[in-house]
Amino acid sequence: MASTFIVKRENAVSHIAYEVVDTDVDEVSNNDLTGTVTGLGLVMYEIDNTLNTSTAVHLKVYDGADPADDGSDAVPTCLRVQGGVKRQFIGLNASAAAASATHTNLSLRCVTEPGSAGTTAPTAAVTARILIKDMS
Amino acid sequence: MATYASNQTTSIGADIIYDSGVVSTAAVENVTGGSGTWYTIFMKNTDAELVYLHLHDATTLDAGNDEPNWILQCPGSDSVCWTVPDGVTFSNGLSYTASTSAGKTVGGTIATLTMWIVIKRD
Repeated sequence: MASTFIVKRENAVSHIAYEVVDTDVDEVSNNDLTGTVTGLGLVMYEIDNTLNTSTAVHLKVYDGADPADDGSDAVPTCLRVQGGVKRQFIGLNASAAAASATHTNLSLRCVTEPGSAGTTAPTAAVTARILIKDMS
Repeated sequence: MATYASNQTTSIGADIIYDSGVVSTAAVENVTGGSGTWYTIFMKNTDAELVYLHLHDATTLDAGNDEPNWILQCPGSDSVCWTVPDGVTFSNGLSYTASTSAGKTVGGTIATLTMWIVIKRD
């Protein structure tokens, strides 16, 4: 992991509370990015895998402060993106006031293997950006 | 569970996969019949418990042992729409199951999980 930016915006209109950016998310978990906060609504995930032109990566998004780096903790959200592209996953629930996933914390890993498992870091840097609502 | 794949390639360039009841006890394998790109997944969950959709880029699926390529949540008693504007590709075929557990674990009782997937076949 490297160059993690966490911006707390506290936008009263959109209720987007956090923008989390990790410019080199890898197999070592980037932990406790928001601190423990009740009602974190994850609404958008952007994964930039343009530098790995032919290798897919899996972003693993944990609701916990310290998931294991060996992939032994079950992951609640896993998103694969093919090589050479940047993609956005937008997840909203029916009320549009909340989000597809609600957390009390946020930690990230990114490896080439699917699901919870895997410790193989991407060869080149992968950037992950997540927008989070304050649903409390 | 009833699964349908509506081939609308001629009219709008996309197909819709519909499952009226995704279950945690059996996998649906290679519903796309080959490679392609998925753009949108809509889920309606009538169960009060959070459900995880396990989506695999594979023609066969050993549910509970194979790690999913995508794990997408749907809150309890709610509907959710996952959208990827430019789509994400699958090279083999889409197979899936659902669970009330994170990770690759399957099982748990799901009242009814209705799902639509918009894809474009290669």
